[in-house]
Amino acid sequence: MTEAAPTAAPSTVRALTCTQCGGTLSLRAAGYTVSLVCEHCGATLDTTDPQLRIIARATTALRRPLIPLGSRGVLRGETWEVVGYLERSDGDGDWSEYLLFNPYQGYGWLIDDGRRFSYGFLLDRLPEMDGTQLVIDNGKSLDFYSGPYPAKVRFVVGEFYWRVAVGERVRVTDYVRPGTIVSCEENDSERTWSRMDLLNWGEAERAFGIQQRHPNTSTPSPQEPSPWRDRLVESLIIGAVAAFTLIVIAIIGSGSTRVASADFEAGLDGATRTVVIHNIDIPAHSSAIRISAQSDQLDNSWVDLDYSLVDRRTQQSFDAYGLAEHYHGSDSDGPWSEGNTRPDVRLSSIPPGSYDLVIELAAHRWVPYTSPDFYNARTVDPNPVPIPVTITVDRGGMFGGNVLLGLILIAIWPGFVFWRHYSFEKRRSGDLDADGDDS
Amino acid sequence: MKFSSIAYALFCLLVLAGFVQATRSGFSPFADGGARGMGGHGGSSFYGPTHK
Repeated sequence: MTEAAPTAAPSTVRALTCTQCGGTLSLRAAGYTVSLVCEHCGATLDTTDPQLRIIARATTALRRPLIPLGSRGVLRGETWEVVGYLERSDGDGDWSEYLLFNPYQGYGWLIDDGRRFSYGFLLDRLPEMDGTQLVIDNGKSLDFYSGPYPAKVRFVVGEFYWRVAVGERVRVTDYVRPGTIVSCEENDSERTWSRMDLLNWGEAERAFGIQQRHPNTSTPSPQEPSPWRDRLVESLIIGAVAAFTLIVIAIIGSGSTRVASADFEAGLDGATRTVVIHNIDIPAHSSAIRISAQSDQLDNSWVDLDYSLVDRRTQQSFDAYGLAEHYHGSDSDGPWSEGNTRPDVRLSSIPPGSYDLVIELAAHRWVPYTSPDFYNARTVDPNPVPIPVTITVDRGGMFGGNVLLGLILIAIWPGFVFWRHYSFEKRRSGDLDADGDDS
Repeated sequence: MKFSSIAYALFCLLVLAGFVQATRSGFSPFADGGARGMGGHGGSSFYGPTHK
């Protein structure tokens, strides 16, 4: 973080008088500056001419930049003085550029897109292209972002190391990586490469003593790193560890113990039959109970299974219903079959104790409603065909719904962060999409 | 590590603790019945094929 306290730099200031309006001017980078735009009348003066020849008279109304010329500030350890200010536009948006000067460091830029500030320098080594990526001298690669698009100077004041004037046009091509944008500006006579590092919120404001802007990510800058990226990485790591742990626990806890098994017969179209499996013991603590039925001889028929697990001591009853069924037939699409002959039901948190499982069995034939036998199908048969049904009771085991619920709960936060990160990146690359559509 | 990540890690610990406790006591909100299940009845009370 940088501090606002300006520090003294060697004085390079020369006092001049504007040859157009007579106003007093300060030449802050004497020996470097080529043109000086009068801050009183807007005339552009040639500082390489001892007579301060007027290069251009003012064509736009003068206005004061947000950071006044001559302001000093410390940015990332270097003391800078604002010597020039210009405004540019690419037709879609405007931005401001402050030319900074330090006699030991040379020139720098403070770029204000109206929302955030970036800290810029001219590159002193030509970047290299690696496929579609640009590689700068520190080895970092940047992706192509947009361009070439025209940029035009709309307003200028102060001193510059080239003969800048309102109306000056360059073609700009941008390359980005999180936190950095590299721009290639070219015209008919030269090409320059500059690098701009995004400053932290408030960093430039504190350095030059202007009002601090409030962070907002509604329209991110092209090189703006997603504020959700770190959270996303951390949440994915934490979530993966938690999900893995949950699955391991689920595997360990999925074992079950057979506590009872019995075979019965249900009479097809006969009366409802009640059978009981006695002395089902649940020791120690509450347990899950799975009651499974198996009736593989069902043929276009079903068995109703009403279960009541009754505590022998308290007579508290835990009820559930199962249905074993199997149907088949043929229609215009060919043969079909459906139904589950091995249904099971799961009871939750059955307290420890000794239980009886009371089962009401009733087997029925399925008769299509189009059949003439449909209305007689539920008539009780005095000599019903026996349908064997095997009932087994297991204690313990894992509820798949619990595992799924746990995984969903664990995934909520990473999912939310991913959504925010994705929407940020989508907004950040919005200009790129627009350019892509146009091209 | 960001505060939100620490809070998320604590939340995951809570989820795991709840999962372990549910597994130990055989609890599930998705059970077909039981002491604290919400299912009430297992399976379907409708019979007959749904093919046509």
